[in-house]
Amino acid sequence: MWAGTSTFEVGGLHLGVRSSTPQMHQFLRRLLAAHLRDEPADPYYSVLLGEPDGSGPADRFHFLYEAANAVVRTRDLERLVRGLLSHLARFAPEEDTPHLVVEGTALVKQGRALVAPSAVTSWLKVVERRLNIRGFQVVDSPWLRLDPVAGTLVVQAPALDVDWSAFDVLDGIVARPARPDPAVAPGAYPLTGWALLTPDGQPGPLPRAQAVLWATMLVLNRHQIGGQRTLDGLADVMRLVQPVGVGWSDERELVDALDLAAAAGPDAG
Amino acid sequence: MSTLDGAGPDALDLAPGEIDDSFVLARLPSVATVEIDGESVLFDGASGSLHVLDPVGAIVWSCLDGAATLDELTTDLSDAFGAEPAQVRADVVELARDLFGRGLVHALAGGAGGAWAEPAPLSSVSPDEATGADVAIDADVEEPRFLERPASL
Repeated sequence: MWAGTSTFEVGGLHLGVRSSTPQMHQFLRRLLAAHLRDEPADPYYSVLLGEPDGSGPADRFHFLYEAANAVVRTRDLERLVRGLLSHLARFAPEEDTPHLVVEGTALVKQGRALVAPSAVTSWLKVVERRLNIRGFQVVDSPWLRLDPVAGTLVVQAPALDVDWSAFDVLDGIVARPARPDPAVAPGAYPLTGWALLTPDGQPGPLPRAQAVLWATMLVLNRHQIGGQRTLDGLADVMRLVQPVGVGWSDERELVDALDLAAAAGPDAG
Repeated sequence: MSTLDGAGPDALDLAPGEIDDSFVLARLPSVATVEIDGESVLFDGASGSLHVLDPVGAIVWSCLDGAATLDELTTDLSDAFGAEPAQVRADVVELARDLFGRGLVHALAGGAGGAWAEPAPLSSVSPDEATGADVAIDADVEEPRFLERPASL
């Protein structure tokens, strides 16, 4: 099932990435040649290409797995690769950032961003199509960067040494899909909402102070930037959006909840 | 009384219930605060605990500057809001005890010249004892882990 595993060094860590086809295996070694190492490493990420086998739809989904968890699901091979880069970049050392680095899943709709619980990622296999139908794009990132001053979600290009010319051969590995679902482009997306899982699971608008309280635990760099900057930044964000609590028991409820959360923002279209 | 960075050798061994309106309370420097929609969120970076104070609690919290006794604070709040002093005093003292019990403030007995008391360790406060704040979480959140682990599809 696996054509090979390569070891890439990022931030001093040796990370194994295995691919399901020889072409993808070679592509990744070229793409990330600057990070390639000879030492073997257990596969941490798995790139599984969906190839037409004549029994299903023409466009099969490709998956990026982190351990056993699917973190990217797409028909678009470029998006899959960019998702891998984004995940690998999490291990790169980072200078002091003015951003809040937040645990969560980001969705972009009509150019505006909704922060959703990270648990949504584990549901993407069954809800991403529904989300796409409602106009949402999923940001393929292991965590989110929020600029509290600008009130935006910041999608960054991966801080890796990448041979971008390698993308020229990507179409030769798998043809472009008839229905592309490209990656969310790097940039700053105004925040329109923040959906939070609360202990009581009660859906609906949250008092902003409660939202700041629950969100504080999601700020991964709160110890680096300090408690006061964490609270100030979260308060700035929550003043811009209407935070909502979400809970769901099936995919329909989840999609409806996220749609409502995105619509709760003051400027949501 | 000029420094609030620890109780020092003269610290009182104080139970929250012993605090009365003669005490002076001061917010701990490790506790970050933000006010939003009239409520205050408190984040104690030392313990990781989080709390929300309702609007009245937020006002009291903002007044705990290590200068005024709770009695003086009661007078000011009663005047400002036209409230019954006895009720304000009871509410202020109850909240002060709660904040002290949660490890968020220093307490100084008998005003200037007394000794600062260390707040009680947070773990010694049971949820039943802590009633003044709306929400309290003893957040002990794991940092993200970057360890390699084997993929297992």
